[in-house]
Amino acid sequence: MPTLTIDGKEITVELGTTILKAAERLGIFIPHYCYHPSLSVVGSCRMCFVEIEGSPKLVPACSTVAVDGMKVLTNSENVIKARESMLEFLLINHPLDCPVCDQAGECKLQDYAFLYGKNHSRFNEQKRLLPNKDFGEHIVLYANRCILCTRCVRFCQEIAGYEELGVFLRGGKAQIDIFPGKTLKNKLAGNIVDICPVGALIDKDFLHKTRVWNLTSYNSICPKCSRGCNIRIDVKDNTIFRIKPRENHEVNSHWICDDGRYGYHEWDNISRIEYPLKREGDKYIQIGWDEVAKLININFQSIIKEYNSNAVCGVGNSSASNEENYLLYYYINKCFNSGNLFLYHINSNEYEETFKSGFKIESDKNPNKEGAILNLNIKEKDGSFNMLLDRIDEGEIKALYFIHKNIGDSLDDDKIKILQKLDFIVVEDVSESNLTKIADVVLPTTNYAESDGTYINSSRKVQRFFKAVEQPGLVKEGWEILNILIKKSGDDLDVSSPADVFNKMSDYFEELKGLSFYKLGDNGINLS
Amino acid sequence: MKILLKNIEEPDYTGSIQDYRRKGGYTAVSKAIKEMTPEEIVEEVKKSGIRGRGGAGFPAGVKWGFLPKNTDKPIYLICNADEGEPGTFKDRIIIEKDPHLLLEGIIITSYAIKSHQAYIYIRGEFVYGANRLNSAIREAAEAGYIGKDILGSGYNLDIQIHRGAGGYICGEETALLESLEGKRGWPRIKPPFPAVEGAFRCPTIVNNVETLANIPFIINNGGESYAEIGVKNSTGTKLFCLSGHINKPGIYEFPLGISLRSLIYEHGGGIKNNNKLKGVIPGGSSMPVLASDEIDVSMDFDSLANIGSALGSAGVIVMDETVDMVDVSLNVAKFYAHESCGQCTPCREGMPWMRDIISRIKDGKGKKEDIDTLLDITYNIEGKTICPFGEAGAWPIRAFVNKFREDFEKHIN
Repeated sequence: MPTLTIDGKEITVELGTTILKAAERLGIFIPHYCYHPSLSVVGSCRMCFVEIEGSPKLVPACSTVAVDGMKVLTNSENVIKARESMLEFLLINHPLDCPVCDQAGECKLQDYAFLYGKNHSRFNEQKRLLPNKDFGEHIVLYANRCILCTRCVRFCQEIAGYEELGVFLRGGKAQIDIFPGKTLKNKLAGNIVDICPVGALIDKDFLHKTRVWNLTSYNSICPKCSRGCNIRIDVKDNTIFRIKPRENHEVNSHWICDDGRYGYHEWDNISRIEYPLKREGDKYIQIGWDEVAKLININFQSIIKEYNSNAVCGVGNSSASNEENYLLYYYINKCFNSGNLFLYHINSNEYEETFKSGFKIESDKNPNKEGAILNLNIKEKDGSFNMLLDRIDEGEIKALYFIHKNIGDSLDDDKIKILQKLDFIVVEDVSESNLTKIADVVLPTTNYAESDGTYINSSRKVQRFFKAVEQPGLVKEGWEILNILIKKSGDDLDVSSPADVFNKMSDYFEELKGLSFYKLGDNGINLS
Repeated sequence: MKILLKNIEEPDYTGSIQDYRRKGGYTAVSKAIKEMTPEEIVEEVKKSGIRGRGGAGFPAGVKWGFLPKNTDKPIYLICNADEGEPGTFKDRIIIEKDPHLLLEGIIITSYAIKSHQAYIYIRGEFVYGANRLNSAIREAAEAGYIGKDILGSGYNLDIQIHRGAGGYICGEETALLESLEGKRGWPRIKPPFPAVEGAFRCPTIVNNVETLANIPFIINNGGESYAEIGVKNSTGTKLFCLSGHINKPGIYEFPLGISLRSLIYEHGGGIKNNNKLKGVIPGGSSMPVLASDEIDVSMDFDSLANIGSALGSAGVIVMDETVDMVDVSLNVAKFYAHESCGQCTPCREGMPWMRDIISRIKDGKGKKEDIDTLLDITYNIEGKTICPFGEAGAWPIRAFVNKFREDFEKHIN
């Protein structure tokens, strides 16, 4: 285990550790472009030079292995001069595009130029000019800006396992391009825009939409499958501008798939239900939250009086948070003494893929099936949707409360027909669907970005997410809707946030014992 | 004393296996395989002190000693026949005129390093050379010197030709390996060195054609005999490639240590038209030019290094007083800009930049600061690249500017 000093600070590392990694552990940052912790080391950008005492030649920190007794200097005069020269080399052909380049504000070239660049260029020649290259659906390469760090090429080869990009030609003419006749088809392609240190690879989805410093970021979890990749939602003016991955080495490394990255657009043109609605004849009229809560409770109580407690049931959702599902369980089970809880989850295209690096897109397109099953306190077989339909058919169930947060019609007609046998239907939904059209009461609820909460992913990791945008109209957050109903039913449950609800969950379920929303941190906690 | 041109200089020598054997060829391979152990051969080569003839001058025996002693992986021998250094045409002569000399060297070396697969990486432009070598390999195989159970010893060896595709950088040993493996000729970061992880990530030795062609002599006469030729630390003979404004251009074989002056005036016949010498590049275009008052130097590795230049591949390019060094610099800068592989920042950006500045100077559009910028660029490239191509492009430009500054200034004023 070699021990070395970097800028006077001593550290002992495992054999084979590079100087760059050792410095990282000491909190010392060494500028670099081509190095990326999840990609192979190429040592080609030559930005990470450091000085080793006693050695005349500077060495690249990313590819030099730490040796016992090494004395490394990361800010000596020689190192600074080397950084200035490498930066000068990169800037001679780089176009001064900052005013029109999306990367401004999160650009490594800008950042290092600020520290190590010259005010005045001594380059008096013609800059080499290259045409932009369209890589397909999402990505365009502004080839003039490319500094040939080859992160994108290595990403496609090593992480995605698709050899779609390559370096063509040689020397000063070398350029990154896609193989002739091909487009970027792999579902991880969007990540190359994240890892491009400059504004060469541009996401068409974000092109020229806003300056990055106008965005506010919120930590969240991707709702598009059960992997639960950690994401960041970037918002301006209460609008989502883009989704970016967050690092989590047990879930998604540094990546997200394109379904998650661009999936937020499915909400673009959805006409949201903005007020609680009550059916009167053929029409739906708006009513207030207070009134609708009273209405629901009265109806449920009267059905229970007429039949029995179990005539009332709740249908939770694998797309809903743990908190929403738990409060539904609490409402149905504690307030009405019914044991009938069922789980609804979408079974969609089942596209799944495991990429070369091990990154997996799951076939289960629900973010929280594990969490819903736990928090509704059901065994999966008992609480299945088909069982619900059977019970309705048999006349056992007369009323239901359905959390349906999915866009559009997710039930086929024959299932809808069975539900119509019910006496009283309450549907929480985001937009009109064939469910809302048969409901007696419609409660407008929030989507994945409009509330705090937690999910449990397919590997049984509990992860938290934060509210990123305000919901429209008089829509209430999902947990809040049930909180109102619970309170109105006379129960003394006292929660005023999803974090509070989580505390109740951790008191109730053995699996969540000792946990709290706060303790989950940014990378979640594994359940045993 | 002729080791390498011994056969070639004989009129009527065809290079066929019959001619080669008639001149004593393939006795060394017999001696090596039948009477010596691989370790003994390595010892002889170490004793000979022979330094690599490709340009780097690394002692061959020492390099062979870097191979792991116990390995499950196959060991490869690569003969570097990429001869791309401008001003150099010595490997070509061996390949075209005495291919069996090279093959015998390859066979002995492969046996010494316990390799059963040798590749000859030959530059794509040497079409005739590749064909010539292929015929020679066939001849040698038929005679039992290549293939299975060579000379009844149980030793197997296969030799394959792999043709390059026009990149100077593929003469750099790790770029060569990448190219051999079917990839872009981008040099690898070292360590690991090829002796540990080379072709297909297996232990590999890469040696130049001329280096390998010396091996039969070393086996036949012993390492010590070889070490007696030449000078201390630069043993043996060297093929010198004389070109430029010289009356008798061509390939000359002399013991290392011959003076440059003697090479140019005594053996090369002096400068054409009796012109004055202006400058001479001693070791191929990558090596710093020498001014006319620097030619009393011994042509060996250390002496040239001591005066700030290098023996390199011994491509001696002679330039007379009619030459404008700005022209020469531009020619050289264009070459390195064209041949840069593009992998690392200083070389990819710096070489074309130097070319463009020199071009502008030549066109009369140069500014005073340009000369110092040019020098600064050479310092920003040197020591900062993945492979020695950076130095190969930077050193010559620096030498031209430093030693012939008037030529540059003339264009600027």
